[in-house]
Amino acid sequence: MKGTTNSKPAYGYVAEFESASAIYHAAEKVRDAGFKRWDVHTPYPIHGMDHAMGLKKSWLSALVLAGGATGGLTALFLQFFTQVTLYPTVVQGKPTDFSTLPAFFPVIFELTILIAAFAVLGGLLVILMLPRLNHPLFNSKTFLKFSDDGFIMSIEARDPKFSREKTKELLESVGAKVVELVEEEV
Amino acid sequence: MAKGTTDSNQTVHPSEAPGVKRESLILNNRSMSWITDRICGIVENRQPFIWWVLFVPAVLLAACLGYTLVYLVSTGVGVWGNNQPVAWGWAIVNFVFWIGIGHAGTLISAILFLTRQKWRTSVNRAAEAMTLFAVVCAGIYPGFHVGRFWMVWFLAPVPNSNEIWQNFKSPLLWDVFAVSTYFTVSVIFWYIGLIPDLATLRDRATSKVRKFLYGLFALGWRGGNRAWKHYEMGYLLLAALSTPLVLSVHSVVSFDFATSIVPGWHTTIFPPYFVAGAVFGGFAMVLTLMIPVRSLYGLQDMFTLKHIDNMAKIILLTGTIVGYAYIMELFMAYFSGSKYEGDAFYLRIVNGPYTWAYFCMFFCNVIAPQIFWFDKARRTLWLVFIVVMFVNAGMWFERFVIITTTLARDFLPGQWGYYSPTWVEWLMFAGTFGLFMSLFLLFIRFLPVIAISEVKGVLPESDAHYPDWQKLKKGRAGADA
Amino acid sequence: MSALKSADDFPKDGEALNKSKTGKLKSLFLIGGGACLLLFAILAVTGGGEDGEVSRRSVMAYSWLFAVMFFLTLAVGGIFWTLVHNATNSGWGILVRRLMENLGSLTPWILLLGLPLVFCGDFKNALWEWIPEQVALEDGADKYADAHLDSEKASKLKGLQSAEAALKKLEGETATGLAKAGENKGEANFLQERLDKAKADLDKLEKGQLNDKELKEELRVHYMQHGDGKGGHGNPLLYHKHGYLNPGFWLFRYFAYVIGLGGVIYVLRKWSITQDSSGDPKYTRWLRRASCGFIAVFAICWTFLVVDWLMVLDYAWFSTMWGVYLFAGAAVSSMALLVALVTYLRSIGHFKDTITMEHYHLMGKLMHSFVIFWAYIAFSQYFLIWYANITEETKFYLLRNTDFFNSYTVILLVIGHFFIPFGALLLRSVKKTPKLMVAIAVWLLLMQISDIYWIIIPERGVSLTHGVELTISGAIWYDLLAFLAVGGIFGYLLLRSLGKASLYPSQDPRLEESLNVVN
Repeated sequence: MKGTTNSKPAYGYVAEFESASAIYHAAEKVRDAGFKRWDVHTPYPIHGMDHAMGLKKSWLSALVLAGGATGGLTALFLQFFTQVTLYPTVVQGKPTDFSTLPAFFPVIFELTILIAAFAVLGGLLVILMLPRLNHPLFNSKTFLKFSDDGFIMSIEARDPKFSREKTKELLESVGAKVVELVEEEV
Repeated sequence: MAKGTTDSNQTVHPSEAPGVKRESLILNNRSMSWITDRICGIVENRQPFIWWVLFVPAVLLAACLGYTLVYLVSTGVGVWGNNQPVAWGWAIVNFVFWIGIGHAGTLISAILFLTRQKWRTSVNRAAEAMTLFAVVCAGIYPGFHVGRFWMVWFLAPVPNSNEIWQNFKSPLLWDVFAVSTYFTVSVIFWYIGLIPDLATLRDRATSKVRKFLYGLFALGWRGGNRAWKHYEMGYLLLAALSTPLVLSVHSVVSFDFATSIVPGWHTTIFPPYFVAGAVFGGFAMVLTLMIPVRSLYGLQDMFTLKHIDNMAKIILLTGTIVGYAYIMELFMAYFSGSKYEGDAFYLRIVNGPYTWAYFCMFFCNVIAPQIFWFDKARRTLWLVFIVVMFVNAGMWFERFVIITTTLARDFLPGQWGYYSPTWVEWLMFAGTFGLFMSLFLLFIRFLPVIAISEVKGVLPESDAHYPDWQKLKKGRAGADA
Repeated sequence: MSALKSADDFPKDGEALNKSKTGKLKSLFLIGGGACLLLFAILAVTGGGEDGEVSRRSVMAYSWLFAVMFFLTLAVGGIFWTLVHNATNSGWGILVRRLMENLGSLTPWILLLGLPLVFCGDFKNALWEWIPEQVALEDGADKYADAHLDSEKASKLKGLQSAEAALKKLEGETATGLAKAGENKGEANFLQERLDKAKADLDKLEKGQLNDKELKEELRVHYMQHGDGKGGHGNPLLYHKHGYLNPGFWLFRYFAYVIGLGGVIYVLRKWSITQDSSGDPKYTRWLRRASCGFIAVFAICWTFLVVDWLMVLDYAWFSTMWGVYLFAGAAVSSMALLVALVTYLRSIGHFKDTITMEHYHLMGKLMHSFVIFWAYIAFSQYFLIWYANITEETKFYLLRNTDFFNSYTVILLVIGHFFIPFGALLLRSVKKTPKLMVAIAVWLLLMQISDIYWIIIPERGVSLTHGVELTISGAIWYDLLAFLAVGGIFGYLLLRSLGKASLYPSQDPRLEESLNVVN
């Protein structure tokens, strides 16, 4: 990180704050300044930070609802197809038609949950673009504190509002303890 | 009268009065980096000698399990003491026992999460891990109980050359779906909870191997709030899915019994009663494991007496619910006027081959936990430990009573018999404990035993609106050593 | 985010009910309820009917039980929520806790409205067949015993003589047998045991011979189990149950429920109100400790109350889940009533700065979870009985799945009581919108009415007409009248109890927690 800053393009700034409270108020100001490609990296999710950053509610729940419906319908189809159409057997004194529906409930329920849970996992990975094992931020010592006790804000250079000087000033003015420029990997 | 002057001579705000004040979940004003250090230290430092003292016998016992399984498969199910009519001997008793234990983890993670019980954060990781290992132990039994283990794939609804399909009206098939779903969802839940902590371990790792492995499983987690937003939603959704799931799993297990017409099994209260019993046994097992772990690894500030107190209360509550179910069963056995039902319970509690087991069960599950009505008892570690040992045994006896007493006295007197397990069964049961312990010890060795990021979230200064965080930080200087 | 609210900003003596705004409603409840009650009473008193036909009074007995039971579930739900709130050391709901307490405090009153069911002979005989049958059985047994005492004595005497002869013969046989058995110990033991048993039997016979009372009891039991072989039928099932199902014990239990449930809520409400003036934190501790123990009292009283009043509408039927099922319905519906009540009180200007959408959200979540719990219990109970297919058990559902009641069950209970509220309460935005919450709450109350109706009313047709008719035409108007009568009194009592103290525990040490609750 010496002198030769121009040889690699900048990824953006990383700034460390002192506390949850400090980064919360800083986030409000950065939000009001109109930045779009920035984030707040914390050891744990801070309550209310979505509001401070101006983020909308997660839409993962819709995906999971769809997953659950898929699971339930699959189980319903699987059981009716095999028990009523394909291989009807009179066992447990139960008929082989539609009126056996209660006996199909447990499996319908379990598959609903199973596919919905897969939707949570899959949806999260897709939405968060994970796994991504390499990232320019990992090169910053300051940034890596986020998983211990650091409250880190990052602003990407790709943000239209980004400027090397002004953004740094902004970060310092909202109370950053340390501000560091992070380079892009090549 | 002025506020709160009755409690002592000094004026305290009533919300700070003894018995009313909220106890802090993390003691001694610990900082975030202290929490990281203490929990990651368990994984990064050498294990204490006692870890090896526990691990070596556990592995040996687990090897016995392997041996008995090989012996079982190569010889036949006859090596078990099962006979007519007790065809469901050891296998189902132990299956239900282990699967019951496997309920506490998801309960703590899911239900306590939904009800915003913040104290769960110190307990949930270990409880979830314990859940998975218990379900692994449970799964062994029905798998091998089928006799021809290599035919287990018949349980899965896949097209086969015989064109035979599973009977979806059978409770045993529901079990297959319930238990495998439960295991899968619990793994997902556990793993998603682990991701931020794996990132912490990755960022602290000194060796290349560690950095690579933890990094691989941390998936490149960067803790951005844009990620946390979806992560929290995902976690909430999983909790919301797991809560009915955890109810359903033991309900389905109870259906194995209750859908039949066998006296002593067919009773409508079985589903909630089994769930309460599972929670009861599971919490007891969590305490059995965590009481030693907390003192061994110095986690007293995070896993406090308050946590133990709360868990003891849940044990008291669920134990009493189980007692309610026992009494309702007895009452209805009388009230129904059904001769078979009446006889089944007469044999259980008055004069039958396994009456002793019923009283063991009743004492361990209903009487013993009543000591937790006393505040002192819930905070006396050795006493809590003894009671939870009783509960562990009691829950095993409960399954033994339900299964064996009923089957040993079937409808046909000509079929009556006395079932006692063989050495293979004993060794196998001991072996599952070995497997369970080995897995749990490995978990302590390689993964954070307390959810680091979640514990940080319950510190007072974690709230962005907490006014006095500077004061807290000052008071902490030098205290973390 | 706004600054945290402080309890000091709110008046120390809390918020009194604005009586000028509720006064009209209160008198409407009282007058309307009273008028309906009067009309109901007149119709019941004059509805005697002749022998062999279905009397109006017996039809109205079911109406009254239905109305009392529905409002009882609401009130008892209030006790439950109070207990849970205290026992779990909760802070979120301090602001609504007084409403729970007030709701719960109606329990003894509603139970007292059940007095006609307990004391009016025609009412209880129409509802609970076991009572007249038990009485008739006892009468028949007494008569049978009196009539047969002498002949039984004579036959016993005869039996005794022949038995003595038989014993002598047996003694002889045993002696020769023992000699023959020699080393065969098993055979010898068997012979000896047989002899001993015969001797013991004879001994008993002799003693019974001497005791008229025992002999009479024997005859009574014989009658109750087998009848007299002519006109009088025995009833072995009822005989088996008479330890629990006998009118005296049954009456005793009624008073035990009044004292148990009434006592629990009286104590809790009293401490809570006392704290309003002193602010002493010791009451918080007392409330918590007492509530933990009271939960057990509550559970036992409620379980056996619903066994005594509802399950034994058909005394042959039984289910271990019954108490839990009724409890689940009570918890949902009383939470729904609390939501509606809070909204009503807000609409007349109360709880302006105190109760927020967060409280609605929390109450919505509790309602949601108990809708699911109710469905879980209802499904499990149905499912296990359906699957095992044992006649004594399936009769309950068989009746309720016949003709008209079948579509009623499916549409109202399965879809209306579960799927609709479950789906509606999934969304967070719904739970934070008071108007929608009230709509759901009212819907859930309607579903609870349906549930109680479904439990009680199908028994009416088959019981009163001995299985000829499923329903009784025109009876629904009596149901409605009873509902309005009890409902009016319930509403009046609720508003009256709200006016007696502050609307929330104004000096509870945890008031601030509730004021600032965020979830």
